[in-house]
Amino acid sequence: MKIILSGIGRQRQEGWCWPLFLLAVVLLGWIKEVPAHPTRLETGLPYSAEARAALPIPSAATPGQLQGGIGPLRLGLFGDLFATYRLASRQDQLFHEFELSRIQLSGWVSYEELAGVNITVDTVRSSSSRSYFGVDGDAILPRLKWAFAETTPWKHYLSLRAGIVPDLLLQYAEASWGFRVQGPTGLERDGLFTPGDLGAWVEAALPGQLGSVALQLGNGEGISLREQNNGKNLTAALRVAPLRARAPDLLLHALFRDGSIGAGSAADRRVSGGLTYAGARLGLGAIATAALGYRGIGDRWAAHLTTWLRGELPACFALLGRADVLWPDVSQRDAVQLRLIGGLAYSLPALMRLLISYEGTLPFGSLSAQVPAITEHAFLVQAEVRL
Amino acid sequence: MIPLRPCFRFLRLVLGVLLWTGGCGPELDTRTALIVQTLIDQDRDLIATRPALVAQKYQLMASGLQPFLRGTAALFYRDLSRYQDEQAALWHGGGAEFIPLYGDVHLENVGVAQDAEGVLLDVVDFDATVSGPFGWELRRAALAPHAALSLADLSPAVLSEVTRRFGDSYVSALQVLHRTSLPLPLTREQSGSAGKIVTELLADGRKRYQQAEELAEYTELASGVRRLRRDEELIALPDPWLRDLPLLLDSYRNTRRAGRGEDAQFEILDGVQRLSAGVASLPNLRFWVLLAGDHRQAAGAASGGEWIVELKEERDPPQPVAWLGRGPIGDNGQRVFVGTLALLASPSSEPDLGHVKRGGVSFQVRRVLRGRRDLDVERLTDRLRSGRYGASDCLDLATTLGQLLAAGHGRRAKAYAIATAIAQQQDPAGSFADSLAQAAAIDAHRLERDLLLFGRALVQLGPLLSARRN
Repeated sequence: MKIILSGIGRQRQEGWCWPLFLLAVVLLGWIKEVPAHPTRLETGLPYSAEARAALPIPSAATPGQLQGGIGPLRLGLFGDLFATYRLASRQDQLFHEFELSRIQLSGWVSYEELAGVNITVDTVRSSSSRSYFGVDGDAILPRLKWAFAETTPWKHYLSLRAGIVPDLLLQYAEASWGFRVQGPTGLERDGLFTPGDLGAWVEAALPGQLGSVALQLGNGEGISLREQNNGKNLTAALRVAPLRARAPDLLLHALFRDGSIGAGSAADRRVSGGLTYAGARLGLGAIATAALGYRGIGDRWAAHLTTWLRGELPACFALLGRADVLWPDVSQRDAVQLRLIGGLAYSLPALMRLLISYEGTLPFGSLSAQVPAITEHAFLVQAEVRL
Repeated sequence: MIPLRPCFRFLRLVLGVLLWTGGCGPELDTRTALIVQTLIDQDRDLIATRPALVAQKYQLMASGLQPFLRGTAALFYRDLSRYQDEQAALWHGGGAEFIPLYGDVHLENVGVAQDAEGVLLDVVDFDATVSGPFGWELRRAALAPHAALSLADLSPAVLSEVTRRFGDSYVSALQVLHRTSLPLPLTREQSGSAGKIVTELLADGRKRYQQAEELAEYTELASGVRRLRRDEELIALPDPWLRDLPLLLDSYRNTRRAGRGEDAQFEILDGVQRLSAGVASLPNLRFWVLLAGDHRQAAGAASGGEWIVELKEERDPPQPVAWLGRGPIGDNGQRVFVGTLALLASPSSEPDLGHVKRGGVSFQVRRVLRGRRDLDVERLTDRLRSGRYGASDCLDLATTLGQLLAAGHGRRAKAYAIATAIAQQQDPAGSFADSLAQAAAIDAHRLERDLLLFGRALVQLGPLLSARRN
C-alpha cells in the first residue's frame, strides 16, 4: 500500500494535469486486479484453514492489508470513508448537498489467534432525528460502533465476544451487498436491526464446516442508548454453509430474536431467514424478516424482504441493484413501501471506488396517503476510500 | 477435546441470568408502552438534569384532558406519522407538503396579540413551529377544540358540528385568499364577526395591555427601585446564567426584530427564573429580565417604562422532522424565530422578538405581556357550563380559528396548493369537513383513552415513568 500511495504523490509532484491523471488511473485500473468487495473482519468465526486456502489471494490494493506483528501480537487497522453528493426530491423539495456520510475506523489486536480486541469508531451527525441542534451546531462526531473483546479458544470452532458486539445478521448482509457506501442495508434503514448492541455472544461451528450456531444476549437498545428496561434481548442464529469450505461465504441464515425496547418494554421480536453470498466478484442475497413489535409499537406485526445483487464487470466496473420491500403493518397487505436502488461503480486501484446510483422510495396502498410523504427520488454520486 | 464440565457450568450460568432478567418490571400494554417511550424519548436529557420539573410536568399532564393534550404533541405526531394505521392518512399534495406550520394550535396557544393598531387575535406560542405538510396541522388543530369543548359536556353532535365549521371556514378562507390574492382581514375587537368568545378575550387583553399589568403583577417597588417579585414561581437566577445575563441580552439585541435599540433601554435591573409555566415546556428554562426601558422612573409615577423580557429555552419540536427530508436546519431558537415571523398575523406585532444561544441552550426572547391572554380552557368550560356561552358561540369560535389558520397557511402563495390538495382528496362519501370531524372524534377518543393509560402508568411506574435518571 505504501508503494501505491507514494506513487500518487510522485504523479502530483510531476505536475500532471487532472484529466491525464484520471485517464492514467482508468488505464491502470483496467490492467490491475482490484476486487470491489470490502473486507469485513467483524463478521463471525474465523475461517477454517481449508476455507482460508480457498479465498482469493489479496493483492496490495485489497482493503484490510494494513496489519503487522509485534511479538505474539498481531495488530491491524481498517476502515473507510464515504463522501457523498446527493440530489433528492422529497416533500416538495429538491435538495442537494455534499455530505461526509461516514468515516469508520477499526483497530484490532489479537494474541496468537486466541484472544483479541476490536475497537471500531464511526461518525454520526450530533443531532438526533428530531433535533434541530447537536454539538456545536450539528457537527459530525465520532462514536463507538463496536468495541468487543473476543476469544477463540478452540481454533475456528468456538468464539466468544463481549462488549458492543456486531449484530448476528446485519454484517453478513452488509458484506454480501458490498456497497455500504450507498447507504445502510434495507434491514438497518427500515429499523429491523441495528449494527450492534451491548452484550455478549457465543458462536460455535457446526461439524464438518457446515456453518455455525450463535447465541447473543444483549440490552436491545442498539448502539445509541444505554439499557432502558430490565428485559434482555436473546438472539439465536443458525448459519449453514451448504458448500462447506469450498464456499464459506455462501450462507443460509435463520435468526430468532426475543426482545424488548424502551422504558415501556415494548416487544421487539424478529424472525429472519435468507441467503447471502459474499464473493470477491459477485455478491447476492435475500433476507426475509417478520417483526412483532415495530418502531416501538409492541403489538404491530411488520414484514420485510430485501434482496440484492452486485457483480463485477470487466475493467473494474461493477453493477449493483437492490430492492427492499417493507410491510409496516401486515394487517394491511396493500400498504407497502418499496425501495429500489441501482447503480454503477468503478474501482480505482488506490483503494477507492466511485459510485453513481439512483434510489427511489415508493409507497403503495394506504401508505401513499401518509405524511410526510414517503415518495423520494435520489441521485447519488459517491466516493469510497477503503483501508 | 472440549472440556465439557466448564461448558455445562457456563450454560447453567447463562440460563440463570436469563431466568433472573426475564419478567422483571411491570408489564405494560403496548399502547401504554408507546406512550411512556415517546414521552421519555422526548424528555430524556431533562429527566437526568431536571427530574423534579419533569415529574411536575407529568403530574400536571395527568390532571386533565387539556394539559394532557398539551403535553402529548409528540405522541400525536408519532401516531400520525409513517407506518401507522390507516387512520393516519392525511390530506396532502404537491405544493402543500412543506409550508410553515404553527405546530401545535390548541386553544391555549391562541390569544391576544398587539400591533401598532391595537389588539388582534393570533397564535401566541410558536414553540412547535416547523415547515411541513398542512395535514399535520389541520388534524391537530381540529382535535384541540373538540377535546377542550368536550370538557364542558357539549354533545357529540355539537362537537362534531364545531369541527365541521372549523374545516369549512378553513377551506372558504383559503379560497378567498386564492381568489383575491389579498391577506385576510385581521380579527380585531371591532371586527364584529369574531363571535362572543373571541371578542371578550380581545377586550380583556386590550385592558391588560393598556394597564401594563405585567409590571403590577410581577414586580414591586423597594426603596424606589423596581425589581421582580420573588415567590414560588419566580426564583433567584442561578449561576452561570446570572453571570451570563449581560452577554445573553447583548446577543439577543443582534437578532431583535426591531433592531438593537438604545443601550439605555436594555439596562438590566433584575433577573429571575420563572417556574411552573406551560405544560409541554414546563421543565424548560425561562428567565425573566427586568429592563430599564425608554426612560427612568419619574418621581411619583407608578411605572417608569421598565419592561420585562423572557428568555425561553426552545427544545426540539414534537414533529418527526427527520422524515421531512431536509434534516435539521439551524437551532431551535432560530426555528421558532423564523417560524413566528412567517406566521404572525400582523407584520407589526412582537417587535421585541429575538433569539439567542448560549452554553448549548437555545432561547426565544420576547417581551412578557399580561395582555397576551390565551383562550383559557378552564375559564371557557366554566362559562359554557354557566350558560354565558352557548353552542353558537363555539361555532363562531371554530369559524374564527379556521380563518386564522388559513391566513397563516395561505400566506406565501400556498392557498391554491392547499385548496387543490383538499379538493383532490375529497372523500366521495362526505365533505372535507365531515372527514375532519370524523378524524377529530377518533383522535379525541384516543386522547381520552391515553390519558387514562398515562394516569395508570404514572401510578404503576412512578413520577418519572421508570425512566433512567443517569
